[in-house]
Amino acid sequence: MRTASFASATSIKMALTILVSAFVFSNACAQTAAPESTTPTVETQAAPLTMPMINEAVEAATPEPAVDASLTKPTVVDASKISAGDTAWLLASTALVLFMTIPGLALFYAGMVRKKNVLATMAHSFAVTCLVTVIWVVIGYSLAFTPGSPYIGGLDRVLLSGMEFVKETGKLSVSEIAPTIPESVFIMFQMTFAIITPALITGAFAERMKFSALLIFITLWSIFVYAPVAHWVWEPGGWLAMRGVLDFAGGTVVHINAGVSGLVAAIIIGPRLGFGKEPMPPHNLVLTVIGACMLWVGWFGFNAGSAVAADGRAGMAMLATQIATAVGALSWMIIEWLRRGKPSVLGLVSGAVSGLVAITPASGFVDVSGALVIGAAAGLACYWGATTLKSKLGYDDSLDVFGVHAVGGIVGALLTGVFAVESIGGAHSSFGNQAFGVVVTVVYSAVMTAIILGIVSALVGLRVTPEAEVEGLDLEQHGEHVL
Amino acid sequence: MTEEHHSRAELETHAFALMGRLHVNLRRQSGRVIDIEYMRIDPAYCRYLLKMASLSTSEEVQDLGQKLQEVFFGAEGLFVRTEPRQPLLARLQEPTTSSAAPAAAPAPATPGAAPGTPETGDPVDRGYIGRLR
Repeated sequence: MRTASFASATSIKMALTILVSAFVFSNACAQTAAPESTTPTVETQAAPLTMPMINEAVEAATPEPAVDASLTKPTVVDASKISAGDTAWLLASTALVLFMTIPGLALFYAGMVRKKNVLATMAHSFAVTCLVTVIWVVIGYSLAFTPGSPYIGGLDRVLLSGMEFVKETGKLSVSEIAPTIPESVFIMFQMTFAIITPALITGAFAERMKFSALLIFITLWSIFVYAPVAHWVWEPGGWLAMRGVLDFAGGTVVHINAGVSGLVAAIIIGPRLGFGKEPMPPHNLVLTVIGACMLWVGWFGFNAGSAVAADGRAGMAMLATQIATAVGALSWMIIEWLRRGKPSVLGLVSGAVSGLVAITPASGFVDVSGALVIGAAAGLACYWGATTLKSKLGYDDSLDVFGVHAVGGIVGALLTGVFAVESIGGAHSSFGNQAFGVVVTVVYSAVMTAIILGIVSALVGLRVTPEAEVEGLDLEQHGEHVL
Repeated sequence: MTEEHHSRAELETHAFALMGRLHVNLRRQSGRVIDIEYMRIDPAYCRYLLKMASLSTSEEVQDLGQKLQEVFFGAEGLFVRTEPRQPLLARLQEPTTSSAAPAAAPAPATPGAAPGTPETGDPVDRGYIGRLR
């Protein structure tokens, strides 16, 4: 026994010696190689990399446009200030985020409703896309992303007046938030966020809300809820931004906002006929899985695009997004397997979405370990939110907008305060500070949504008739149906 | 085989004959292809097809729909009548099987939902009472 332990101790010592020697040797090689790297030869350039490298910033042949950090409002600048790389990435990201709503979210939701409401559910996402596009260029962008007061933006960009692009003189306007891309691209990018946020809410009252009521609700909500909250958090002069509340890509502005509004809407509109008494199975989970996959891919534009640059931070955001999503899916799968005996496919994709939601506010601030923890926490918390919490409170949030988006958003926002790494995001926050941002958003979103729904109810009513609900919204609201 | 088994088998044969005719008629008239195997086992799909048949302009299709309505949802219909009792040996094995089943079966989320739930419902569908996930 004693001999065995002695042999084992000796072998450990030998292994350590070899490791230390290897480390010293590799350092020595790196130091001796360093002077040569200043005058690279063809051979050293062609040699393959054998280990990850950190490239120090060197002066490139074509200098990158200098970022003017002194901008405090949208400004007209020379075209030479624009970065082609950043612009290209933001153009791609914009398309990715729009792809999340149509067809990603539309399919994700459509697969989970009953067959008689498929078209109506897809119509929600499509109509919201069209409606918010118009609202955004008319007033939404101006209220959200121009400096005004700490609580709401100005009216400088109503109908996008002042947004310039003059090809002859080489001048164009940029936002102070993204000074290396044209303002037109920034407006488009942010528009896709403004589109997907209310589109998320529609899942909470699916299968029972009037289409006309939906259009009025979304119009008012977009102007009076989304734009102010986006201004508070994302415009540098917004009061939550100045307080140091971190939200990289929309955990607070998009997901908590949408989730809480969805809950309030679901409660005010009331449960579907037969809720809690008869089964309401999703009619085609294949559509849901396809939609979830589109959401996952599109989310790279959402999170990595929010760096508003094609740089290392965007890369970190993309990496964190992938990790948290995978871990979220796995943690939901495991808890469901343990509790119910089977890992459902709907659970798997729901876990992935919960990971995506939770990493959204944190993606540009956390490292790999932060992403792992946030993903795992999101999977477990959202499982609890969509099953236990929902059952206990008894509300009919048709597609679990609150359970996944609000709960996941809150988890992500709070853990951003815990796991934010200053060297990655250049900022740090605290759990308390993040919690403050969460509480403010929850309260504002809930109160404003209730007021808006009251107005809509008085104008056109919120629900379809019971007969229409039994018949299905496809036929009743749109005069079409899926065979 | 008992008399009950005989009458059930006859009814099944009759149902498949009618469904076959419905299939042919619908395909000939509207190009619509229906799944008669699924129609036999899924009451919701069956109801949907019967409703479609009742809205058809063809009298023959309407007539077939009425007959199938009786076969499936009449007083002694295939979706209405209780299953014939299992053989004795199978019944003796039931307690072991049924004691293992509830562990895997999802419980209804809303406490009040259970009484209203039909015992013969699809166990997968029953998992969606009061909840989606």
